[in-house]
Amino acid sequence: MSITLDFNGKNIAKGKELALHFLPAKINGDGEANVDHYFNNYTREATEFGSGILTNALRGYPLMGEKLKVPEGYRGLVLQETEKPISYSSDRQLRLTGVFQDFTFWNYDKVPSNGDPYRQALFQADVAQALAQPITEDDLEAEIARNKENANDSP
Amino acid sequence: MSKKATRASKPKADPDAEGSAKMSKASALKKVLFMSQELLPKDADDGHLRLERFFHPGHGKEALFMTHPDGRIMEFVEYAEPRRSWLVNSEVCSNGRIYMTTPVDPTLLALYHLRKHCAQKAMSLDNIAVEEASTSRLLNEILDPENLKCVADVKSSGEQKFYRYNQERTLAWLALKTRQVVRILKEKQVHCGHSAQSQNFVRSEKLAAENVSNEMDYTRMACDIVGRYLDADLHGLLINYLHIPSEIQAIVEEKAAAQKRKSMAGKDEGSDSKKIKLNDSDAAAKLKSSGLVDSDGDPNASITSPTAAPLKERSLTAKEKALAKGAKGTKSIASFFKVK
Amino acid sequence: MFEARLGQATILKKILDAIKDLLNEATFDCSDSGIQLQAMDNSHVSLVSLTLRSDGFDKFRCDRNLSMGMNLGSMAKILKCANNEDNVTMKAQDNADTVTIMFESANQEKVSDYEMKLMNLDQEHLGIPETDFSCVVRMPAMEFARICRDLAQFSESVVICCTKEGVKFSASGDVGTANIKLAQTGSVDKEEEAVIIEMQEPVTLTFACRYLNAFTKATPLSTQVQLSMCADVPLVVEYAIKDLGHIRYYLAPKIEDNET
Repeated sequence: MSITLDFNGKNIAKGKELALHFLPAKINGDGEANVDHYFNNYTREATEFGSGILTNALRGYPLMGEKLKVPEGYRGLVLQETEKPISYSSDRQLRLTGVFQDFTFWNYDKVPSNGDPYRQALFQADVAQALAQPITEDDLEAEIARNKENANDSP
Repeated sequence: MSKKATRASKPKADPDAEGSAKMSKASALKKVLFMSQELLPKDADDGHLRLERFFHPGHGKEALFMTHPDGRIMEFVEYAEPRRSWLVNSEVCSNGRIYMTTPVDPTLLALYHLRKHCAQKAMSLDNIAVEEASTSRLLNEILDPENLKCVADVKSSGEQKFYRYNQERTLAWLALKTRQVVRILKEKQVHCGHSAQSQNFVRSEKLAAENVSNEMDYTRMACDIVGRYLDADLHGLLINYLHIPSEIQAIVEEKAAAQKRKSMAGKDEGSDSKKIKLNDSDAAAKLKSSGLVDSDGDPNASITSPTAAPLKERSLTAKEKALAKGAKGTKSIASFFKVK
Repeated sequence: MFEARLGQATILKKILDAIKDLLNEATFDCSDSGIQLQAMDNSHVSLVSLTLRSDGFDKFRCDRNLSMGMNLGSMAKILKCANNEDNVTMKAQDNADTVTIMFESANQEKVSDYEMKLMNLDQEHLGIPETDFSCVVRMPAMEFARICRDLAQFSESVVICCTKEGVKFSASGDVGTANIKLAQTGSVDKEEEAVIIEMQEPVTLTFACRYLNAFTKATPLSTQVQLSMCADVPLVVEYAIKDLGHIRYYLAPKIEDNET
């Protein structure tokens, strides 16, 4: 089975820019909501907590947020599957709904910081990058030789 | 089910939390993806990206990878935090995950198959696992055979090339990979003291400042990261190769340190919350009857969350005990009604 | 901003009395359609569901949906401070950690307000499926309360048996057995005194008596109570709150009908 992603660089350049909020709550439901009226309307700047810090509330629970950029080297995309797959093995297709460059990250009653699991998760991308770097044959031969030497030194 | 909240527990929002929402089941779940720009095909001529399943040795089962039509591959990872969701323009999206493409060296994925099939005899790639479509695709269409030199002996016979797994080269290669990871860990000032195993990615500036992690701590952590792409036994061999000490002492210390930090963290959370534990007498004391007070008029209304429920269970009153006794023999109501 | 005003504090008092024995704390979910509360008791065998429609209030304003976790004991204490005829107003800010409850005497001469701290309650909402009940019994709420009280003396469990002829409540214990039969009222002169049975098929179920007794704390809210039953499905005990909404109690049936 495979999933095809039905878009390329050109589509993305022309893609609809979306406004995203990353909420610290589980919502059991999908669909239209009057986000502007009930949410965006209430976003306030809270400079007393730092520059760029925003506040809002969800169901009376206080939120603290910050506009974050999509990590460097990445594009933010929103994808949608048009129809549910018939079976696990059937071919599927993901379509592009829109694109984004930044989004609002919300924490529940906590100023966003480097301690947030989200920021720490992003770090994995850097690690993966380092791990994926190819290794030259020369380096490898040197390492093998060095290891042999070490083994000889300490029998 | 109605467990008392701690600060860490987030409010549960109703599907209708955002007002008069029209719920449409028809729209399938949206996915928010951080897409690596370099993997993105430029235009339609370049073909389409695909998500495919390949065996992931670290997971011990198949996992999703994103492939470019030209054979490049990235791992398709998902970041899932409990209780997260998205608002996308004016739509609620219950899928609060972030999907992300991260670079992966296909040689690491091929290594599993080489060890399985080519440990005893040299084989050509198109003869390995011919019956497994995904493995065959990985080895013949995605992998750059040149890179296999790092982990295998190559024998040529005319056009054909045959590969035989070479443990010595593999370990040396993995050791170099580990060092590359060590470099990035240092660069990013990841804290990896004695608790590196339990607190994998704690990266706070404060901790980094007082960080006295030695080389071995970094190596141990990097080796764990590399190990996520390896079979357990190969991971073990790598640990030996890198001479990473696995004294019980270190583990004990790590555990102690982790526990200490946990309890510290608990304290910290407690101290910065402005919550007052609510008990009945307290609440009564707080009651004030101050005549006409306009409660909307407080511009300095502090932004604190509602009071956390007292964590300690108070002792039950006689009435409650009697009620609890009466519940004996009755099924839980939750077994009839599903959690929404 | 949330603000809800009721003409008579007594209704709110009665509502609190009806739930505070079962629940120590609960979340009031406010939206522009009204106030909803759903919570399980400590033992998780019963569920309380309260609905107060916004149009039943003298004044109701809820700009944004709001969840207020309250300690019901504290809330009841505050309500004790109100006179029955007082106006009562509940107010909260969008991201408030307190709720203000204000009482005004009918002649506006005395105004008192109480501020109560809110709590974060991590409660799961349960989805209650639509059920076609085999039997629906409507009877005077006082009568039901009396029956539950009387039978509690005999046993921990009450067997409710509903047939076309009528509904029978029975209990048996060390003392002996008790049976109370109610026949369907022939001619309905006074609606509030009628016993009405709508039956698709007969049903016999056993319930924990203490819980039924706890439910009857809602009796002052309504003249009539409605019992909806179906085999292997929780009993629904519903009290209508005139012009305002209703309170429903769900109780899972007992697994074994013999005594423990």
